Amino acid sequence: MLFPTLTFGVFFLLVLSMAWALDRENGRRKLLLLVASYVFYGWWDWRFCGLLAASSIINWAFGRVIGSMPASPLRALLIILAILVNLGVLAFFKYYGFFIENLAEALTQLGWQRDLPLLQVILPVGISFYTFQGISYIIDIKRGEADHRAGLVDAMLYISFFPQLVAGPIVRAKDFMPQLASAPRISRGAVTLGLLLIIWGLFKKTVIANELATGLVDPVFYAPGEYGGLDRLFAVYGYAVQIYCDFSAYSDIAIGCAALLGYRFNRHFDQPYRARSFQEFWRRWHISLSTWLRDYLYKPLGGSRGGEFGTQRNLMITMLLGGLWHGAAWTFLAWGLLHGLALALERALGLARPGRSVISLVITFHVVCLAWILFRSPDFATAWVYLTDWRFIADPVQLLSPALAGLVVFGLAMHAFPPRGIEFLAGAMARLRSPTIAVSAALLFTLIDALRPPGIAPFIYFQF
Amino acid sequence: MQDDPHRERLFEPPEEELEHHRSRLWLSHGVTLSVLLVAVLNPVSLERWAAANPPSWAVETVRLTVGVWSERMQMAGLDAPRNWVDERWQDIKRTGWEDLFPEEAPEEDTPDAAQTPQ
Repeated sequence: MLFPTLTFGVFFLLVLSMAWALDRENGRRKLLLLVASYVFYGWWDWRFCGLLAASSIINWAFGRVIGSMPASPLRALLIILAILVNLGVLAFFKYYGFFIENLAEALTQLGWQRDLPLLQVILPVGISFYTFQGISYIIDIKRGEADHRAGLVDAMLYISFFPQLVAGPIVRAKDFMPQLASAPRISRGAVTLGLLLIIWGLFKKTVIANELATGLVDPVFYAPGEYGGLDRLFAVYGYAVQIYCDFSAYSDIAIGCAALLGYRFNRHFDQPYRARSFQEFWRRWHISLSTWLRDYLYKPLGGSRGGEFGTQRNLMITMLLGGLWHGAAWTFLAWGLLHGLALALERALGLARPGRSVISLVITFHVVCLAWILFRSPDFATAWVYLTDWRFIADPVQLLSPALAGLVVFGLAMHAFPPRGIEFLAGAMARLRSPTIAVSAALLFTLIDALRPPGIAPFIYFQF
Repeated sequence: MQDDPHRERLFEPPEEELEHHRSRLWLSHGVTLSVLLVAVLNPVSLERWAAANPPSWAVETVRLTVGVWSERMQMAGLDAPRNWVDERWQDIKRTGWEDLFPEEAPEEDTPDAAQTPQ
């Protein structure tokens, strides 16, 4: 069930009305949201509901035991075991094929060819996201930041809550679970913010991201050598805009849906291409993943406490694993490596201090775009052709139309909008009467539907 | 929770239960009216949705109902604003660089005054 479809619209309206009808019965309300989340997930493939349920129940059981034990070697062992179980599930579904393929190739190179058990493992949608939430549940309980006495329904709902289930944001147990303690009370501000985020997200995904993907980015990245310089240059800028509009749209709709249901998720994107350093970029891009990696990987590795070498090493490990989190491919690893190197270099040269000039913004943006070529290319060969094959550099434009160029420019210009404009607008609209809000929302929905191309491509981050 | 005072202010729960009920009512009225208006202004998307689903008794019933609804809205001209936007957007997408910056046609050779037969 994709967000920008009428099917999801009908589903969400049903869940919304039933959830608010149960606003005096928190237990039943949570049960309703849990059932709705499994219906939402089962819409793709009902078989994976079992995996989701098993993951939730195992984490809940581990959390219960770990939380009730005093600090001891056995407790530490259980924590490690719980994390390994989560990572094991992720490794099997996401990295098994990649590992076996590369192992077989390496053995062949060494002359020890073996028939390895190659399985076609289907990747369950959203597994990377809910596995990370499971780990967050365990670690937050270990740190005493989440309550281990939470009921099974609470733990299951935390891991499977449908707005963020398949593509984030990665919600922390310590942030979300206290919100389940009582039925939420809603304010007009939260409602208008939710509506505005949903409308803005739909616009970014269906009009900007989809149009750029089908009209420019996909064809150029499919055969980069066949397009001229301007097409290729704008395809990279176009991809930077597309991936931002696609992923931030999903997050906006997720945060908006949760807000309408009475729950609050943290901000997930904050105009990332405004960043004047890589450090700032990672504070603005995919915030839930970068903070997750910082709190659950970088800091436990030692963070910046182990001197310059230790810090650089921890940074590089974190970024490499962050790259690999995106998918089982060498290109993602190289993407993570490039970001890690940029962060390390920035740190070594003292370039990450605040108050840097616009030139730093331009340089950061272009290095980010360079990394996007690796991220988007299916393999290194395509990325190499993209960057080096300039036979047709002077060819006239084939794909880039004024409308597509306009969308790229608009997608980048969005980053110059007032940073908290949507919150300001939500605050102002909360004072209006409901018919005014309804007419405005209906006109905007109709406008977006008129502008969107037919059909809808899945969100990029579904594959992760 | 992230330190985000702009959002925190909007999510501040109402102090009184009555205020919560008013907000809830405000939400239900807004959503209901908005859905009705979208159905009136945008019947094409309902038709597309019904046509895209695999046929079954329920889908066929929806498709027929939506078809009649859409026809009525079209007869009343209520889908005109949406169609107008759609057509303008398609025009913009079709516009090429040559339409924006047309090449100047070479000037036609005008007969020199001296060569003009008297």
